[in-house]
Amino acid sequence: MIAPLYDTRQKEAVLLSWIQGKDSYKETIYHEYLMAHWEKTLFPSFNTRTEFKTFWYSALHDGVITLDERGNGDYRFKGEALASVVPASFQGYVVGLTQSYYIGDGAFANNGWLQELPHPISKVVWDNYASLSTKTAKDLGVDMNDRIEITLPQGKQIVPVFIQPGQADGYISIELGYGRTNAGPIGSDVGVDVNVLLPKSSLTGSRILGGATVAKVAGTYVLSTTQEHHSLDDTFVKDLHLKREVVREGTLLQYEKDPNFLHHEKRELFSIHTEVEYKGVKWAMAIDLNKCIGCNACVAGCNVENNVPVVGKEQVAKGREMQWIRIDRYYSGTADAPVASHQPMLCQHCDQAPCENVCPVVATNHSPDGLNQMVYNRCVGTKYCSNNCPYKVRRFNFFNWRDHVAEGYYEQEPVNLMHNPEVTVRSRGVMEKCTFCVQRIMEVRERAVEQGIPLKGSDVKTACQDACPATAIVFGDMNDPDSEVAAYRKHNLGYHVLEETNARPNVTYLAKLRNIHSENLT
Amino acid sequence: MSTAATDYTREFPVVEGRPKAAELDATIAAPLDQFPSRVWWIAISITLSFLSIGAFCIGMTLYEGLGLWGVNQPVSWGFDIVNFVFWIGIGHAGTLISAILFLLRQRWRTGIARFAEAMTIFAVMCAGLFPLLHTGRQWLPMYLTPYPNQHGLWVNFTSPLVWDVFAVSTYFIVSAVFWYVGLIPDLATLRDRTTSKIKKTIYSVFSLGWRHSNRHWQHYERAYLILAGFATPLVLSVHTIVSFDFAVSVIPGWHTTVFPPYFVAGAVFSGFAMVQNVLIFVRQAFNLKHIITLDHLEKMNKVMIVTGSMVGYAYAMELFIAWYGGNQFERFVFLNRALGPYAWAYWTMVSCNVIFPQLFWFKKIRRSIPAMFAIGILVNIGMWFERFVIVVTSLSRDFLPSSWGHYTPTLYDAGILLGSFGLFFTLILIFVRVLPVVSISEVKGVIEGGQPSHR
Repeated sequence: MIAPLYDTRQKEAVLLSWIQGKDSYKETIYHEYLMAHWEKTLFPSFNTRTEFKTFWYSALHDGVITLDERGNGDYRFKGEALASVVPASFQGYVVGLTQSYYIGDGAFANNGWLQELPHPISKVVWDNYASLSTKTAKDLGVDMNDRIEITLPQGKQIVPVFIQPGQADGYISIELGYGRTNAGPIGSDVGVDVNVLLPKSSLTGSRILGGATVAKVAGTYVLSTTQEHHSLDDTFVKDLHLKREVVREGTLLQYEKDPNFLHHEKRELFSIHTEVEYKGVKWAMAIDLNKCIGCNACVAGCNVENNVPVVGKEQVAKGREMQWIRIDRYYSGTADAPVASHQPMLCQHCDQAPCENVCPVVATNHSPDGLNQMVYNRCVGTKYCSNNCPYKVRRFNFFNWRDHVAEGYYEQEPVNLMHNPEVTVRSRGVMEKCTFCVQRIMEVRERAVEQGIPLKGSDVKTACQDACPATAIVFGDMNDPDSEVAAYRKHNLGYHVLEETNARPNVTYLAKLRNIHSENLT
Repeated sequence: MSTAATDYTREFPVVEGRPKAAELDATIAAPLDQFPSRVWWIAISITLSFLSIGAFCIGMTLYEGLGLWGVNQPVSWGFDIVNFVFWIGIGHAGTLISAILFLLRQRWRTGIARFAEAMTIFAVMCAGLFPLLHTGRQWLPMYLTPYPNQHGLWVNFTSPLVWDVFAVSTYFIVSAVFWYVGLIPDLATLRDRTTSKIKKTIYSVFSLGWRHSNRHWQHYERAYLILAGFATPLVLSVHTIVSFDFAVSVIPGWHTTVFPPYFVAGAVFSGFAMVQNVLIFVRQAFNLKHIITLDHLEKMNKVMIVTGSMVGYAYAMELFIAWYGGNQFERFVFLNRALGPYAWAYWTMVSCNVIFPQLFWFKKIRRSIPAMFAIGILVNIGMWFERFVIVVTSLSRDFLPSSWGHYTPTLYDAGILLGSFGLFFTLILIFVRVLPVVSISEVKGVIEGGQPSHR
């Protein structure tokens, strides 16, 4: 029931007009049918005194109605049933097929934003791959980006190799949904089709298939990732995220014993010039690493809200992905038992932003309410700001991406209609980065001005915050002492990444506590 | 080689033999009067081919975007800035020779000053190309200048890039003026010699009515002295400010106070290597061996061993301070340079800049043309890699391990670098055909017996 694009008819409307006869078609035919259906079937069961119209609009507003559908069965947890679960035993290699995190069974293959979301753990984009443990890879004599042929009775397929720390030995997991041949300009011929490994008799059956034979085949296939891979044994780079205090973690026992364990080392940071005082609203964000599950929903939400362009696999390989927020994944521990840490990383809107004082044309500057702003029209693209950003969250339009990807697919109608009209579509040669959803801030501010009420920080929800299923992201006015974000900033688990650069970031991270029955992490 | 050259108690004769003034005129102006030789045509066709390759790559970059280059996130500066700093460095020898050595009364400079200055100007032209090209929107360079406009927009005076704009353009203008002023008496000499009407007109216009009168000389000497005084601080300031592009940032490996002196020493180092390299050909091709003598080349080699050692000291200090300072980011960057993915570039730099120039301690090597030529080339390779190491290794692995990346230059990067060499040598080849490569008037002043003496 969306307004029709161009001269088109909704499929439901077409069916209805066939049923109801010639000349019955009008734009609202399905809308009216649906309303009538609700009035007849759903509305009476609510037994409210309100009019149907009121009920209808409130349901539309809430986006949800609650039906009383409680059944009569016994829904208690049956612990004893676990006894009947027997671990399956397999011969040879076991292949586990799962649907893709992002494109599902392939239904969303033509969505470039989803194709370009880095896998939560491996950070691979635009591909599926055979995920192997270090030992399995060694047994097979393969390395990253080699190719293996997997043979099962029902079929075989050649798949690129990705060595995944923590993967079970002898187990090969591959995502489904790739390798579609006719999915549109974006989704066709991305990855390999591993549906051929599924037994045709039972497509709904188990997707854990034993007895596979695996052999290395010639040639390589390069996977694109948004993060480099370092051997977990390489002492030169091992645990740098912990040593550099990028990711700070503790254990529950440690926290119970000493809640302020994070802040024993006092740092004195001073400025050579007078610091700006923020008297009014000052925007800030807090991210609770205990809640973050690394799912990338914030990245997708941000992409859609802020017209973030898709760049394609080759450009990601060159290190030119455009996402304004990313989930950094760090490993510690060993390759067999790695510990993964996730950290959403976005523009920190630093009070003393290193990017700002190096821009020769003042294209990036600071707003009175603490936002690090980008003026696209003024930017000439020296990229100095990006070089000087300690968090490397700035993104540069190396090409006119919309023109560059899939022969200008994102510039063509009707795809170009998906752009958010509140946000500038950036062109070639300018820098961009997270704005703290300034368009949403402005919307709330305008409303406050219109209604003559003070601006309330918690009324603004950023796109990433909206998208986060775990409510790990909190946004608001840090100068409002009652705000949630102010409370987070004062929390004794709160810390800033790279404090010693004295950039004074405005994103507070809450250190993750691991419940591992020990006071020490390792 | 005269035996006097080995007797260090006595000043060298700057010009070998005692050529007559008229002979000097004829020798130096000879290339201007003859139709270019076959070798010249071959040389310029090579340099023009390089230039056209560069022009093609630049054209494609303007049309498609910076994505054709290897730059990415996190390494947003690559060959562009490496080449910029490299060429600015090459452009340092000229003004050093012509201004600082002039103020220090180093008479041996006369034989090489004109050429070195011309090289400076051409090198700064090549350098200037890169900051213009490296911006994402190359059609908006005026935004970098503080011009009055109705938006009330101004440049950001805290940005080293703005300082760069001023430093480089000032250096270019002052070098060009200094060079031109030095040319005026020679242009007048050429005007008086030539028989071609067109040439006469051109030389007349550019010699500004010079008549070799005593008053003219007095004014000229004074103006030249003032300009030399003016240019001297610029020699030090330009590369200091270029080094601020890095030193003012927060990136480990860039944020270093040693950069200004280290960059200036490196610039003089590479500039002298380039002058020495090119002069070896010029003195051969135009029969100037008695004016640009082996002593000149040896002196340049001595400058190279001094500045090369300074650069080596700076490398050692960087490492020492990284360890002594105790900053873990700093330590990592320097270890990463020596042991990380770009270790090959680091060790190329160290061997070319620190180890090979030390061979100049041996007099035989210092005075052997093939040896010094080879070392000069190595020095320039090393100095190019120095900038590569500074720019690329620091950016590729900075604070957050999650955003580390690798920089791989593309053919477009290489094409534009080649093109800049094409531009440089094309300009030099044109220069040697249209203007005297040695200052005729100054050389006349330093031939033995050219000046009154108490001896």
